[in-house]
Amino acid sequence: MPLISLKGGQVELFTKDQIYDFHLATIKILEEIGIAVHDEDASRILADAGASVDEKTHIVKMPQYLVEDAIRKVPKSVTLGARNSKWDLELWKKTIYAGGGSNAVNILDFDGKRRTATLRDLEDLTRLQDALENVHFIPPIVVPQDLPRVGLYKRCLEATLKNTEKHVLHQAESPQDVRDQLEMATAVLGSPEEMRRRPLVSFILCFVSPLKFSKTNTQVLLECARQGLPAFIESDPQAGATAPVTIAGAMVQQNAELLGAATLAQLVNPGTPVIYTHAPTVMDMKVGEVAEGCPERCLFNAISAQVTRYYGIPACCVAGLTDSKIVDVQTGYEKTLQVTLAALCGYNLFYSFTGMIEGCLTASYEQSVIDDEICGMVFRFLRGAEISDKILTEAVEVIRKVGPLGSHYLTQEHTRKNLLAEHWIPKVSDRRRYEIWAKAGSRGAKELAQERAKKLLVEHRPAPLPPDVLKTITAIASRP
Amino acid sequence: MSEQAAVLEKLAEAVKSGNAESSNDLTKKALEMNLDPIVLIEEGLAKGLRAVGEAFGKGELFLTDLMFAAEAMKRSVLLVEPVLQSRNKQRKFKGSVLIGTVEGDIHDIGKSIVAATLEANGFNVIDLGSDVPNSIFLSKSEELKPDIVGMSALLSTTMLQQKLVTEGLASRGLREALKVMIGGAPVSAQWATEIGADAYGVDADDAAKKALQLVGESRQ
Repeated sequence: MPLISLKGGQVELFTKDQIYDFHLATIKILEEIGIAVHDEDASRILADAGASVDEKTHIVKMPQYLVEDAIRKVPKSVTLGARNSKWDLELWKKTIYAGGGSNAVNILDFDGKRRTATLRDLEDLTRLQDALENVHFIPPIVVPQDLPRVGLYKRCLEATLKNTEKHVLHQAESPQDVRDQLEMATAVLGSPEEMRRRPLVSFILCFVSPLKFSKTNTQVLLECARQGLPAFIESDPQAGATAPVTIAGAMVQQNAELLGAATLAQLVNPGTPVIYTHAPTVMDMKVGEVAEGCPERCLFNAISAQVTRYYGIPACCVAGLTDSKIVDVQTGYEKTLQVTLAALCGYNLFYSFTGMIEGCLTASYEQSVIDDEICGMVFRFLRGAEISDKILTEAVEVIRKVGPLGSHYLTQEHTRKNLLAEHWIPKVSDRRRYEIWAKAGSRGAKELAQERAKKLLVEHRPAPLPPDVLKTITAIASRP
Repeated sequence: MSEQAAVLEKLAEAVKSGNAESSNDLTKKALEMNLDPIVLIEEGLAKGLRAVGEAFGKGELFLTDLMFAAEAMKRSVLLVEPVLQSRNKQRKFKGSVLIGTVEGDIHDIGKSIVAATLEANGFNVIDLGSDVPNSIFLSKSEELKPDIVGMSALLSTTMLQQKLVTEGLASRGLREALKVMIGGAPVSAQWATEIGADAYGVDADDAAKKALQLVGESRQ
């Protein structure tokens, strides 16, 4: 059973006709312009299936039938497993899950100073986000700068697996790295059958816009497909810089990139789970930097959410990012807007969220706790309000009981019975009276979040891995 | 643990969980066992309510938990009172509080929470309800001679009544013999000073603390 069955996707901005037109424009790009595929195996597979390949430019043009055939072959529901099956994720229809931060290189520490991220931070932040109820899967939150680059991802996976019972969304540097990490995950789950049924680790691979498949990522995708491992195929176009400046223009290029990748995966191994993933931004033309907290991201997400639902392909977006360098008001409004709208537009997953500030560059312990709070509020909205015969009848009955002569509902069984299902209970937000708040130290959300983060770091320990499993994964991670 | 101690513990637990049915059953059982009714209230029922009050103050329990616990205790005390009377015994209170929401103000909840918390802290609470006319505050004060008169006002338009009642108590010569406490959303410690009240409680827990100070007691 999935841990929650929240549904997003209450909002649709576009008509079916618009989405179909969008699809046809995508096909035009794939058929007439093509993608530069910098991997010979991939080019050959595509050519054998009917694509045209230009040996000199590496440009591959894919016919409509090939792409649409692949869309049909992509699994429409995917299970992502976790060490603790309570955290298994069921991606289909409009289920929605939130993921932790990813790939920060800096830490904004408790003392407010920014420093380089270490292996210790990866362990601690993973453990902290394992404790947060609104983080449902875990990417490597930081890239430890104190580890050697060779074999980095295996070391990160080892640290992550030790510190979370949730699904791990990971990266790989080569096909061999995929196989090694698969072996590590299988050791944790216990058997290859279990790993196939509910894979504990999936891989994310980013393609470069405009319209390029680099060698490494393509090879990793081919290996994931051969192994039947879920692949998060990701494109991160920057509107105005690496993609057309218009919102729809950037998205249609991204769609061509991702359908191209999905086609390749289905040709290698029909039925390979692929998750359509994207992190589009606009280029801020005043400062010459990408804007991760931009409102346009909400529109990118609105388009892609509808497009992927049209295809029936599970989808993942990046939402809840900020360009602020500190835990401040900008952080709060940028993150809340993006997460709220991503949820309403409907994604199976959103990630790179919890704890991230300064785009994807810095992770914060306090912000992790605040993001859990933001997500809790958004999810409360998604849980909705039931209007049913039962709810209304019970309401009329309790109103009859208290009535105009009574003064409150506090001692009604109806109140006690429904309280926790109906009301969201904050963990950070302070709702006390001024005097009480002042007496308790006049602390804002940042300080209260720091207190909670420190408490969770002391208290929370995920179930330890058995000693023999630990030995196995450390041995694999240590392989040259 | 003696049988008596076990029943008292269960009584406290029943009140803590806001289970009036169970606290009534246990109260009847305790009376049948010939348990001292005062001990029954103080070491059983009130102990449970105090625990809930403290946990609520710390943010560990919900307001509904507090109100259910207060309701459970109130209902069980009703069973004990006839026994107290028949034995000519009286509960030892830390003090008595006449409490109500002022004239023109029908807000009842804040006042009820304070009343429950005061009861949990060993006060004899006489609750006049809400929209209590100033004249009733004055006549009841004269009649019952409480240690404390507590007034709640939730509206900036009704907080003035707190001043009028306080003045009324003075003009009737009652002011010296009792203490005046005020509370409510628009009210502040400054307002208390301005109208010559003795204390202001920012919330129920604070109100109980101030009330204990006013009657020269400290919290257990």
